[in-house]
Amino acid sequence: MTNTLERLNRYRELVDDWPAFIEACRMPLPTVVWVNPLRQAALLKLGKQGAPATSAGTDCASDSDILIATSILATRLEALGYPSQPVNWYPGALRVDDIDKPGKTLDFYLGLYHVQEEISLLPAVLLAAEPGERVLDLCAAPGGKTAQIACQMENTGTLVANDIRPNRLRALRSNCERLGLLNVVVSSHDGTRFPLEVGQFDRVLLDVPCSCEGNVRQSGKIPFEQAGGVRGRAGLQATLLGRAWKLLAPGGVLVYSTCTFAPEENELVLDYVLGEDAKIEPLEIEGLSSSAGVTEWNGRGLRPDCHNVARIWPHLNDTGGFAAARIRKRGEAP
Amino acid sequence: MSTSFIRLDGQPYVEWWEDRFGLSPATFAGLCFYQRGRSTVWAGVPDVDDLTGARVEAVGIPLLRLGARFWKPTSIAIITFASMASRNVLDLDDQETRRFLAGSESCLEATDPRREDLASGFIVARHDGVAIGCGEWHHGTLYSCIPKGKRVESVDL
Repeated sequence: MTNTLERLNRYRELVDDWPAFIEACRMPLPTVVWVNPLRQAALLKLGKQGAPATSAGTDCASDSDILIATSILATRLEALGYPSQPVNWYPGALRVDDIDKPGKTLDFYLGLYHVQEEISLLPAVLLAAEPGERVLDLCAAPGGKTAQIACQMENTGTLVANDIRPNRLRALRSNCERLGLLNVVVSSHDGTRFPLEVGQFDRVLLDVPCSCEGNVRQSGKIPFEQAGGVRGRAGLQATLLGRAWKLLAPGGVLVYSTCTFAPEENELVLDYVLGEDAKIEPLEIEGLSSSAGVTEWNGRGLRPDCHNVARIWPHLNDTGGFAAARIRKRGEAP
Repeated sequence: MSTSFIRLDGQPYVEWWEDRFGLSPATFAGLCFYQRGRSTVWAGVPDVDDLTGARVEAVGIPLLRLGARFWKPTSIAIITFASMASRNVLDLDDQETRRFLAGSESCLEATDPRREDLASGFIVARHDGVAIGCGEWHHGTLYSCIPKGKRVESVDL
């Protein structure tokens, strides 16, 4: 752990409160679950609240339904000995205490909730997909973010969830089925060569493979510190972003995200790939603290809108580390 | 165009769910039906013909396995669509639910009134009004059809 934390020293100038950052990196992560609005009828029945007479596949949940469903889930988890608290910036999410195996409950088996690291809920919030749209999740496995997007789209439209790695594809398919995602098409292309003939998308989520420094709290170490480090993945990330950009329709939104701190995998990739037809938009999520992206690194100046990249340091919200950008493609939607 | 997912007319499958489980055809409104390989019918919202060139691995969820002698509903389709089923439904108590989710059988007493509504074959297993998977009912015994990889031992109810 000490060596791992020493590796993070290169970010000392970027962090507002270094001792708090280091302290947060030493702490385990809370378990977070979110309610599946596509299964709310089942949850309402199990909560003895009475259910609307619609099929589960066409359920659409309003904000108040989500609050009721979340309350029922919290009550059911508490009855099993797992008290929880709401995540204040994400309606429907709960931080659950003392739960070793959140996948061993009937409610999980039925797809009434999904388990996901809290801060990895952010990219889908920034993407803000709408019903009926055509959306691409280019590096989708294991599918938590895919599921969030499918729920935003209320199980309508077309959501292509792509991944190349076979074992991760199995996890992706399994989660899509368990959560009842009827608007998802799973595909198995190398993301850097996803066929352009499929056509353009209204929104693209690009949650790239990264060095996972922000997962230091999960594992006590940085998973890929021996595998080329932060620079080894920047080439792949840039190639993926180039492809994703071609697949985005004019006027569309692309969200680029990593669970790593390294500017080489975040702002530098955006600076290298994006041209004048891109605008990184300012971000504000109520209840979630972030710091600004870097516009200069190792003496190199970057495009000014890199300032709008949201950097989530672990101590800011008691989460893992993360970085995300919401990028608008100039032009009118066709 | 994807070569592996062939678009089907959904009517025979919708009628099968209506005949076997009393589910309204409206349950499947807005869905496209596909066949991949010889035996699996899928149900999903997207039209994969609009995804020219994509190598498609799944669309929506698997709905039915087509056998020579019978059609078998998938557990995930039962969970997704069949909580409102009115025929061939077996409501399980806590102990039966645990056995079912673990992949084990349950025998119903000869006098159990729940037996009256069941015809031999595939049934909707239900707990507290919520469909929890596909079972097979023969001669007073419920067999769990939950795939091995999805079974849960000692589930928290």
